[in-house]
Amino acid sequence: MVIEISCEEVWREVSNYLDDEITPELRARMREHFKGCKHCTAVLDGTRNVVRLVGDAKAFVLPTGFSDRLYQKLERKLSEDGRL
Amino acid sequence: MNDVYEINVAKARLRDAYNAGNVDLLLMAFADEFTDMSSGKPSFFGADAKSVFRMRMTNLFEQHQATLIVTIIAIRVFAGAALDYGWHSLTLTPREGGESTTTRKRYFETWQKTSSGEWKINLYIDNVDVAPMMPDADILIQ
Repeated sequence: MVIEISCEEVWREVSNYLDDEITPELRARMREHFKGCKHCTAVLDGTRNVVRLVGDAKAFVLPTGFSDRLYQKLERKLSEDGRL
Repeated sequence: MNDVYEINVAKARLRDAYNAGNVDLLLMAFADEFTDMSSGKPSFFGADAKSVFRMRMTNLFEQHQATLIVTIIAIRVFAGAALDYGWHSLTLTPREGGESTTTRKRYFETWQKTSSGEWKINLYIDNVDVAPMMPDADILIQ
């Protein structure tokens, strides 16, 4: 028998589920819950996307000259505000 | 085991009782005297509720194969009492042939812990679910 689990419990464990840091029993309960719960499946997919994005270094490669332009913008803003 | 886990276990037994068409097992999920406010049915209270529920479910299982999917949103425990709410999606397939029908209801129920430490449902209310949608335009304007 697969024991039920509530959405609230699933939300607490969804990150551990993705990291495979839960017991096989809890994993089975969550997997069964996802089958019948679109809301939690959306939370799972969203969390998985965030984890993938953060783990993907390519997603954070900045365009050439970005740092210089940012620095200049900050400098201009600060001098406009009289803080430089 | 903690109380939330125990209620999850009781709910899993209730689900399995539906899916096995086992009325006796199903009734074990309920307190001897409970309040049944199932949608589309008259309300029943106390010992009557269990008798009526037994007859209703016996007829249902004789005529249909039931498949219940439970989605518990949350369980709250207050010492010897608890509540939970969520959805029940019940698919009924006529045993003598015909199309299956699925009804999704949102439910609310309260539980009491018996002197032997078992959790039993002592109030059940549900109504037919409505698909998610945005509020009506006139409400959004306000």
